[in-house]
Amino acid sequence: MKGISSFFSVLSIRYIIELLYILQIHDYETTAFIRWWVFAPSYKNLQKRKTLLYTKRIVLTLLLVVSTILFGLAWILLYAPVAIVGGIALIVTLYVVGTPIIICIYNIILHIGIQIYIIYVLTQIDAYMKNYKGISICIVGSFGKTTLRTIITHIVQQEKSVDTPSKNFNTPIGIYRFIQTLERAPEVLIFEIGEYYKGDIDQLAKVLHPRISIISGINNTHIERMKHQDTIRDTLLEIVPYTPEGSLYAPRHKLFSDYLPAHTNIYERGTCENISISCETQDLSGTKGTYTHGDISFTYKTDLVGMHIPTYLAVAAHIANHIGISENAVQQGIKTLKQIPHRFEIYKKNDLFFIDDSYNGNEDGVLSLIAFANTLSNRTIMIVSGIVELGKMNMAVHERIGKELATSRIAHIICIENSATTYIEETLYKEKYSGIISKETSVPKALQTLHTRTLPGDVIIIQNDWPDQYV
Amino acid sequence: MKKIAVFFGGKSAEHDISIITAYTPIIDALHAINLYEVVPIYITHDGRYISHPEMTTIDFFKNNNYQDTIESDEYELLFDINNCFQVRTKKIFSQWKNINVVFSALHGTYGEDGSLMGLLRMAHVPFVGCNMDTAVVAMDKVLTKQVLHVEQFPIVPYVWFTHRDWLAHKDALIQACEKLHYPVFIKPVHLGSSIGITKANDTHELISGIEVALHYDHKVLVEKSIEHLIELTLPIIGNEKEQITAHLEKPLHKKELFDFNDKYMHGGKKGDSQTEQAPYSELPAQIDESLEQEAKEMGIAVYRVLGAQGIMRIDFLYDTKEKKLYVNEINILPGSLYAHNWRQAGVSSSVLVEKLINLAYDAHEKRNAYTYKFQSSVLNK
Repeated sequence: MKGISSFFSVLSIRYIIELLYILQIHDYETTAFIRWWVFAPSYKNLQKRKTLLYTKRIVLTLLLVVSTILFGLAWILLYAPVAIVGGIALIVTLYVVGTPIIICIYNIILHIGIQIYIIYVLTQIDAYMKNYKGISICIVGSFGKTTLRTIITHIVQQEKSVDTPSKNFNTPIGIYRFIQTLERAPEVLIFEIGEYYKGDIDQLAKVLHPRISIISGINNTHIERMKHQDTIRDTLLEIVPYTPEGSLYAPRHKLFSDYLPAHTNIYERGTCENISISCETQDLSGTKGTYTHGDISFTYKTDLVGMHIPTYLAVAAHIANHIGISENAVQQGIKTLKQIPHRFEIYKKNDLFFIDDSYNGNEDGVLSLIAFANTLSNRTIMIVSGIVELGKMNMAVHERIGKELATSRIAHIICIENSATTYIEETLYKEKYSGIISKETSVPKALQTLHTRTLPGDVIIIQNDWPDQYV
Repeated sequence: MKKIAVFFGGKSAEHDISIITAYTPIIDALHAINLYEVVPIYITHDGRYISHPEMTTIDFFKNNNYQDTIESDEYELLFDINNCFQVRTKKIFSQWKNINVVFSALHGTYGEDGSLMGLLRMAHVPFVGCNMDTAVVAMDKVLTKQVLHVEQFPIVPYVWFTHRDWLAHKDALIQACEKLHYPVFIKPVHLGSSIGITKANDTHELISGIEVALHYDHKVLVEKSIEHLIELTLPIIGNEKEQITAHLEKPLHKKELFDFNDKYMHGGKKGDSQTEQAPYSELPAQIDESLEQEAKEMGIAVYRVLGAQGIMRIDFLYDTKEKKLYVNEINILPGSLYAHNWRQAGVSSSVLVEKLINLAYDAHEKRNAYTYKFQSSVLNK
């Protein structure tokens, strides 16, 4: 029955839309798309949690594909009508098999076109940044880029005009579009640079001319693409040649130990060079501690939570001082920091607390969530989706997460059914986790049934990285 | 996966409330627990039994056209109750589904009144909730008062009569009611959700109230109103061996009579956050510890005396002037299982539903332990 249903699912006109959706969520990678198409059990109703975004690329691809199919049909009608009499099944088969092939061909052509456009875009960015008189700051890293960017922006904004792309525009085209929106050059520009492939950072760093660069962190994020941790490290270090001496910030990490240039500003555990930020308490209301910089010391309180927060505050404070922001402004900035959407974002809804970390895509982030949950006196329920793109490390990473969860104080774990959480679930049983284990098919579904599982005062933690499951 | 049938809707004035109870929390919780395949069995106003694949969420019934969807007999059910409880739809190639346990969300007549329990007992299938005998007593407010009176529980003075009695002895009955002294409450004996209940302060209102009640039921109860009143309500789950109480809850309402609209149309028990109306109740009730203890002990005693199992809600009236606590009414299927109260008391809906199902299995096992055969020679005579 499944095979018959699958067969009939391709006869719908929505077949093309569903294929384009899959192409989009695989970041337009032709090989990943073909691999999915060959092994997919069904081609219908794939847009369960996210939907196809009608970007210019998708619209153009759709028009080209539909035009080709219609042209093909018209040709058969005009020149080979006998095919209709004898070969309805053949036409259907051509449609089913041919459509993804046509999509691939146009995808490759458009990809080439986009690469040519990117070359143009990079020259434009280069021209702008060469004339830019302000301070440009670039952030790279496996994780934490957006959090760090948000913190630095907010603190520096206390005394200087700052602009930064509002969404995750960390690609050449995204950055180019952002620059085009700038009416006047601010005193500080802050960019995130994404590292999807080796060479991505080099490409952008070359034209962004950073005055200050920060490596926000390194772990196994995107290892499926990068294949090896050394490749991830080398990709992140592509920023180094373009950063002035003494202006690079990097975490203390064994992967970097022999590779960082002299005078790199190293940060770790709440300290960045001569700035130290302690974490004395951390709960649902935020983080409190002491800020120390030489003779200056004050108690701080921020709404942000997470083990990484004091460290990032220290980095941001150091950079702020470096570019002339006063200590008062730093203090004010830390005090007025707002929660970052979907990144350890805490809010209350009715009688429940939520920690929305649904843009959490890395192992350190998940472990940080679990560590924070362990400090809470409230009963906690965690919705776990696992992490994507781990390749061969998929099992090992999720088993580690499973082990941490098994010994945590989390009372109830809801695993979102996928290949990653299977390892988490198995580990929970193996490690004799004492809480409740449930399964749901999606994060929205888990949230829908929350009212049946929760008690007043419960804390619900949402960890989610699957692209079609963002809350 | 075991199959659980959830009955709801029904030939009852509380049909719509039943649909809400079925989904929130029963079916929603069952989906969360994920140990059972849920078979929704919807009984229409005119008594048709329907199970449609889209009845997995309450959204099906929020669609104004759902009646059209179930109009055809394709999704009507056939039953097999030969020492089992199996269902299938009339749809071609539909398979029989063997039901392992039944959860009824049927409020009021033809459901909560013992009708369904009787059928399920005959089919030898476990079912959640009270047995038939407890249901019959709980459903009839007069019978409840009579049993409680015999068992020496404090009850408010009352008068009862049937429609026939009213027609034959109207004046005498008015006199009897007026001996209770106004104000009085007039209630249809077999209805819940405050449907058809009125308060009377004089003869004219009394007669009107009785006419309204007789519109819904053939039997009417008139009881004295407690003026210096605190209402308390207490959900209990368990069986004859063990009972667990939730919180005592104090309904709060602006009007003299807390009617259907107050209960269900203004945000329900959570209050109405959109119109910022006052919440439905004070939970837990802010009362003296001694009163709390008295009410809980009395509630458990009532639960045991009535032979209850599964869930029950006991309603009390407390006269603050006389300092006296009365048992008012019994409800063996509180709306939405009073899940909001259980939640405050530390029992989530999933846990509540799972406990009730386990209690159903226990009760079924106990029933099966008895012998129902007796060798006699009466046919040989």
